[in-house]
Amino acid sequence: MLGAAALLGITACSSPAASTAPAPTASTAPHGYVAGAAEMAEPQLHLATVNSAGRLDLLDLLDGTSTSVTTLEQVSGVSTDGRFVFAAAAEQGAVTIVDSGAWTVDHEDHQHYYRADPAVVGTVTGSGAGVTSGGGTLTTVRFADSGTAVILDTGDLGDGTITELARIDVEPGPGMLVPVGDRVIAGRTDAPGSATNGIDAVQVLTSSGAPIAGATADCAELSGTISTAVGVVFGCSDGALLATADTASAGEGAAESTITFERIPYPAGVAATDRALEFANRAGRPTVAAVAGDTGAWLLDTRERRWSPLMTDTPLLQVSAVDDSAEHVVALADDGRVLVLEAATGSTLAATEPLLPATLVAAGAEALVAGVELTVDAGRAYLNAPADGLVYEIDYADGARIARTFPIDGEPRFLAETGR
Amino acid sequence: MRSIRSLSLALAAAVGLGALSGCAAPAGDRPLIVVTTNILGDVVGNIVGDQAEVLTLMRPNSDPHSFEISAQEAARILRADLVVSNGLGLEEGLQQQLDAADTAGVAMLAAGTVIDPLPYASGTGSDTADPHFWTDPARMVEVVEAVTAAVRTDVAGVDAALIEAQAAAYTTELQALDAEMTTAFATIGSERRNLVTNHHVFGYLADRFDFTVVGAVIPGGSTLAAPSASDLQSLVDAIDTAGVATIFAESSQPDRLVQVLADEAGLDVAVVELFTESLSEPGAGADSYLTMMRTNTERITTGLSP
Repeated sequence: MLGAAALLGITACSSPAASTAPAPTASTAPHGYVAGAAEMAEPQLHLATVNSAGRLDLLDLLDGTSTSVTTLEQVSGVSTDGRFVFAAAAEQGAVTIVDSGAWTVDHEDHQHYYRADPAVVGTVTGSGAGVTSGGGTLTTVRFADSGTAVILDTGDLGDGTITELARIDVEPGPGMLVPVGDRVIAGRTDAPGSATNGIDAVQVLTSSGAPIAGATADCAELSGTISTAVGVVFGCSDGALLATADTASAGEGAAESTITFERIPYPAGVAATDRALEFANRAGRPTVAAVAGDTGAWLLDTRERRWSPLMTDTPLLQVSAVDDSAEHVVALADDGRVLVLEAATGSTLAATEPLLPATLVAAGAEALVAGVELTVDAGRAYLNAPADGLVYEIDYADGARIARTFPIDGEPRFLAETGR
Repeated sequence: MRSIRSLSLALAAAVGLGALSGCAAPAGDRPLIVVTTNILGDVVGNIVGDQAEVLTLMRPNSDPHSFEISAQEAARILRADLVVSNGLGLEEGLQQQLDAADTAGVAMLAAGTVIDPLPYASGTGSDTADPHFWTDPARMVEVVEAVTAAVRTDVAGVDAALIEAQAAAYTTELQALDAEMTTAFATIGSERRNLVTNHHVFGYLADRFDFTVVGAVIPGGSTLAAPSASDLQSLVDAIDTAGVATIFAESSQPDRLVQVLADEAGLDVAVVELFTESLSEPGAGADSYLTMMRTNTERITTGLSP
């Protein structure tokens, strides 16, 4: 477009080209275009931290510099989809969405890396703690207290705008709302362990929030969900429920994807207390990890549809699967050490010193530990130690060496990694 | 992969236009050819000169895999006399609009359909065709032939003889480029014809000029800050295998990478960047397809010479 306009403007014989090929303006800028976004040579990895005063900082892991983006009130939880940071404030019933300005687009055989200026996109309001789940097409927010489900356009978030495609009220209580391509899966459950329930199921919705008839699956005691390169996993009492989107017809403009459900049952004889309740992995990889009660961890290979137990001597607080060629698994032990485990053998390859000495004994330790996040990327793991005032960078492939330590002003209460 | 500026191709096209003809007809009266990438935009501009308006869709700071267009541009695609795309899955974000134009009966030419495609380099786990054919100038000659034929068939009101003459002149330039590249690369011994790179676009160049692409993970800035031996292992292995003194990597901190390789692995290598998927700004080494190819040839030849 610029080319054509410039071409005709430059020649001696000018013509009314401007009317046929206008330069991009706010109103003509293409959907998904982010002014100032630049493609970069490598992942623009950043750590977003929220300190005890609510200040959200972005730490550039490439050069170690830090930028303050905004200050938020009464943050109760932080999550990310790798680009946007979703900061929930349960008291206000608000979720503030911040564009970290760093993201990766995966084209399977290669990746593209982008960087733009960080910005506060806006706030989604509801009641109580909003849980956000980000997908490439749709982003969802679920407020359990009111049962409100909000479906957002992810592309518009990139343009700095919150567009609510749907806001529907379902039954309040524990549950889930997760985007899968151009669909959304909503789940509801009774409290885990409840003897009688008739609502333990997931239901596929359109992007406007309409249930698709017959597109449901049972999932007793629904707890935990994660998206992998294969599909979306839900934790159920008898194993995992895997939802995959049929992309065969996705090439047609009007076609919408069909969701298929599969069950991946636990090996026989798993105690209810050892179930996987929360999943984590290196973003996009097929294998995910979950804490298995006090016994260690579960690994779930969503490509092979297989569970494998990984026993540890020490109970784990968190665990994440790197799923690299060496099959590293990184875990936070309940004594504050970060362990590096080997999936194939189950052996502990290395461990750090305890990294949460002040945090584990602080007043209100339970709340502080709830905000501790262990996150892994292709090269390093990161852990925030709130009361210790530090974020650790751990080289899991090199004997759990502490590669860098970042002091964070005012306690890093919450941590999320973006740019990956 | 970055620094995209279609203005540069417009300049190149304008120069060609001035040299080849007199005044252009007003835009509204001329036929419209829509081209997706700025590399093909340059090539098509050289073929048609002022005989048609060439609208190139790829903007600065976008990349061919994931750029999108406005509703106005989508409407212009539907009114085009001819749409030239790269194809082979390169323009993922545009496929719906391209399909819509095809369905609406707009004449379409996907360059990838007129060349002999290569599979992606082994080890990527992908069995799809590699869309980056432009790194082989001989394949671009085939694309010029196909575009010329399509313009003659599908674009009414052009001076066919002039189009043929312009295409022939440009083909001569491409053949000269091909000969230059052959001559330049011949100075590199066969044992050193190894491209250690994190780019995914050089498969066709390697196939045509007998190079081996040695894929490598280039340690990123977060690992370069406090690196360990394992961070560098993939790259060090690749450099040892290739036996080269220059690697062709995009890195935000090339100097730091050179330093780390020297300190941690005792390797003395240079880190050189090549142009990959987009033309550059004027004067920046790749403001036309021909310039881009010559710059890369010079950098590879210099880097791999003893």
